[in-house]
Amino acid sequence: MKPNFLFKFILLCFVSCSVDYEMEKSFENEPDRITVNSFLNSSKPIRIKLYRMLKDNNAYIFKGLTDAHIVLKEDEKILFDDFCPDSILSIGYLPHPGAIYSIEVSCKGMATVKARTTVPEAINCKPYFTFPDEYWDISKYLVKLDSFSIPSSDRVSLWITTYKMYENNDIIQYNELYTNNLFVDKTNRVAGMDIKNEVVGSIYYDGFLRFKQKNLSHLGMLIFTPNFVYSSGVVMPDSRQKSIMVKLITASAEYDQYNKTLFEQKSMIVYDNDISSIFYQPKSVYCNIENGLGIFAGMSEVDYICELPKTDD
Amino acid sequence: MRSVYLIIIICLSSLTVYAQLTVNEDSLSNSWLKDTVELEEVLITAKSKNIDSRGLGNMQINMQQLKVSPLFLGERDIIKTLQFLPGISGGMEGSSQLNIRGGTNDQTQYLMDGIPVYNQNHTFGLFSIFNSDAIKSADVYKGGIPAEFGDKLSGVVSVNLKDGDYQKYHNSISLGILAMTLASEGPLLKDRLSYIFTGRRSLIDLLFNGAMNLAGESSGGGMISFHDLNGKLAWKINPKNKLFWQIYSGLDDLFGMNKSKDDYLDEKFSERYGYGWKTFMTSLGFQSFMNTNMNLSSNIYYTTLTNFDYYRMKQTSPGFKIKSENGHASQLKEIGSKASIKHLIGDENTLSYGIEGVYSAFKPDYLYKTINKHYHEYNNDHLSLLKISGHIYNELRIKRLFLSFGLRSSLFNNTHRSKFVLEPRVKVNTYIFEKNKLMMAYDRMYQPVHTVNEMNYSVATDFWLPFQEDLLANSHQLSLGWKNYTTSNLSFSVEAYYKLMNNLLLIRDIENYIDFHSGYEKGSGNSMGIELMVQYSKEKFTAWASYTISNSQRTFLGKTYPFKYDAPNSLSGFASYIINPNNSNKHTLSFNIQYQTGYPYYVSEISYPGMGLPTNPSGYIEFHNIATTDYIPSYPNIRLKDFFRIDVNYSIEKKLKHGNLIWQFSILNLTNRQNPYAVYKKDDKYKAFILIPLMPSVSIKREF
Repeated sequence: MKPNFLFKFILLCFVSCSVDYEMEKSFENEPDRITVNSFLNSSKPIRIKLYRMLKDNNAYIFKGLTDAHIVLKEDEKILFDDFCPDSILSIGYLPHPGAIYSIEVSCKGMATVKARTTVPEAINCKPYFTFPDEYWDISKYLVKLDSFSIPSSDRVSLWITTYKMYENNDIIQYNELYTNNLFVDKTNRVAGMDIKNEVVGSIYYDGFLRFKQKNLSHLGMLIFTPNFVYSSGVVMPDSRQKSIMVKLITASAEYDQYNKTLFEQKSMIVYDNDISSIFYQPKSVYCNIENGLGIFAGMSEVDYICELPKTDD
Repeated sequence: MRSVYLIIIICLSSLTVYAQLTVNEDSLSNSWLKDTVELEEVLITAKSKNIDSRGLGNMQINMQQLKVSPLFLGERDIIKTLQFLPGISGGMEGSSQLNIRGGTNDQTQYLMDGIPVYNQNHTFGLFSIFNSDAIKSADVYKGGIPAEFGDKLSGVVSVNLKDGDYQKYHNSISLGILAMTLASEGPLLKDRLSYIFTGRRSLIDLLFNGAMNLAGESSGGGMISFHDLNGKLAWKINPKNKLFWQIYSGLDDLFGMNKSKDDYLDEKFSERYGYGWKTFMTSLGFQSFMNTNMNLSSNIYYTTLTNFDYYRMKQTSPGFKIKSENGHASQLKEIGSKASIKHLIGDENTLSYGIEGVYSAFKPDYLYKTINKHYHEYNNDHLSLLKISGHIYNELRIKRLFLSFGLRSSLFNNTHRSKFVLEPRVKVNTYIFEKNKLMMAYDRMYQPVHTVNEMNYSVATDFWLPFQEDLLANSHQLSLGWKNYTTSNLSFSVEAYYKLMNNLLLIRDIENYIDFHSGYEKGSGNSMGIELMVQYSKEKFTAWASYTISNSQRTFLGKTYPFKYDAPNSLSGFASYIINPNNSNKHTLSFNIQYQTGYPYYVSEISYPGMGLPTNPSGYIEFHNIATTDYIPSYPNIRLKDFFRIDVNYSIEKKLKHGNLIWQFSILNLTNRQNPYAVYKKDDKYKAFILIPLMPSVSIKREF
């Protein structure tokens, strides 16, 4: 739970602050290196982005890496072994759930980088949606998921995101998911100020629900209320929204660690020059690219769509 | 434990006599008076130093020092005072850590009357759990650690609690910015049975939530709440035997709550959520002077630490009631017993020996659910540690040479494997030209438990685990010292040390470490330094200053880098002057000053393209630069700017008809120096967070 309430206490005691800081010279001189970024999604063709890091005066900059030699394998069978003239390698090939993928990228003047991941079997569930009689009361919308099928072979985690879908095909992600389920990871948990409804209470999660592998086996039914908030307040459902989409992302260990640590790093960012900085902590983001930077991680996803009741207007 | 005291006898004829007296605790010795000199009249001056350098690596802080030390948020705090001593680092500003000679906080053993406590923090470490009204003194051992202590690599902090007064009743109430403390002591049976009780509670949550209730708010927002209770009964069964019962209970809870009510449907809903930690300790001790040359000290104890994170909900409507709680927790429960005997074989030879058995049970990270009193736990992995230790310690005096030889042996069993270890301890002291003492010590230590927080600078809660596989951490330390007693008012000491630490653990991912026993590295560390200390005390003026030059490093995966709290240069000073020595209205002014090289730190210099998150909130919590990832190096890449702080305190102690009234006014960081607590990158600029700018504080205490 984010301890935002501690701020009030400390503010009463003294006024801490943030100031501009002139950095001391770094001990480390970072070498030029290759960055590889790719999520291998079993429902999308393979797409791998490559960058190179260069030192420009005292700053480090990134440019697309072209003409790199790439070796991509699926279960030790070669999928691609050639020079890639572009900084993005696109292959019209869907990764297989359960397969192991490895990549090796080399380029003159930089260390060869390697990475490995598994594309997991997708987790499925049975979705239910409950709307109140007063359909406009979005605070009582409930999404129920149960009968989760968890693949036993892989080390997987589950991430859930939810979206508003519009008639004009616009999609907006719900940014608050209210639930009091015990097994949701607390990384992105926030203590709300108001009770959303009596089933889910006032605790919500920023943007996604994460279930680590150890908790997945205990997961029976999950009930949550999605909510979308602008800075000015709650937005009422408008007639253009036609449905709610729930996405179940089955995450490999690499995908899970990358996104968890990236969220932790991003949530450390200080928004105001105030006492909230007391919780700042230098936080590394997980990287599985040996000798380089970036992420090469497998995932699978399943979408469930719920049509909203038709409005009168 | 043998202690050496310097007795100074000042005669009216201006002849000053120095005598060195070696005594054991709680024993009588008059051997030094054998060759008496008949004098008509003598004045004996007892010098009680606020900080007593008692031997190589051992210092004692008395409560007098706390009475004049600057307050932190209105609280007198023994840990904050200890942080000023040479060779001890407090970690980041505002913390309650004691990192001794390049060690981490979990390598410091915290004892309360000899019983271990596993979390010394209140309010995220802004101050410690040790209530100053319950404390008699505190000993720190940085080196030359007696064989009766073990299980931690770097040192021991032994907080000694007061016995209640056997003759008179004393009560006090004190009020600071943050908390209120009540204390009471006195005889239950005069000269036989005494009690002491102290209780401390935060006020800020009471005031805040009271104000919310008065305003009719249904949302209690959130607030910090803490309390601690200390109690001790001491029973003199007869002149030779004494029984103690002691209890400590502390709780920190950072909570919020919400309520809703539908009068029409007669429905109520309330919830409370929060997190914190709970510390509990109780012990029964027995002390016996078996004969004039032998005393026995024994106890049995139970100590626990529980970290929790909970959500409670209660819902009622006609014919329906549900009460539930979800939570995450980690828990350590320990039961132990020890007995030791100190045997005075002759005037020049003391033998101490003892045995200790401890069983610790750990539940590192579990979930629980309660619905209408039906309780269920998930992921409750049980780990345990059984420890059996014995020690023997011999102190010999051969002319001017004091020799101490000790051996501690322990058997650690973590259910998967057993480890038998030997920990030799050697200490040699000698006097040269009467006023110069030379000292040498060697310590070997093993540590069978560790906390899970190595990478963090600021820590919310610690939880403990026993050693796993062959990763039983150990250290070797060699220390040398010289102490000069040229005048009775001035003392000067130098200590040098070299410490080597093996089988250290660097946990890079706590979740993986707990769930899969991965995400960690095995490494080593070393630390060396020279500590200088000078103390001066004359009439109304007391001062001490210390300087430490040190170098602490860690080596993991073949890379050697500075330890996160490595400060090559550290200077501390304290001065106190009694402005108005009038007994009925005493005014004291004191200063603290501290300078040290900035700590090593991790700062991102590289932002590289990322894959974003599986969330793209477009609401009020928007992430900056979602498409980029900041590269934080695996090892520190800069040093923070040097730390400097001056604190000032003014105390007024007024004697009233019944008791005393004590006012204490403090200002921390008098020069308002911007000492960085954290450094981060925002909008391509570096920012520093300043935790303690100029910070005034006040406390009032009424004793009666």
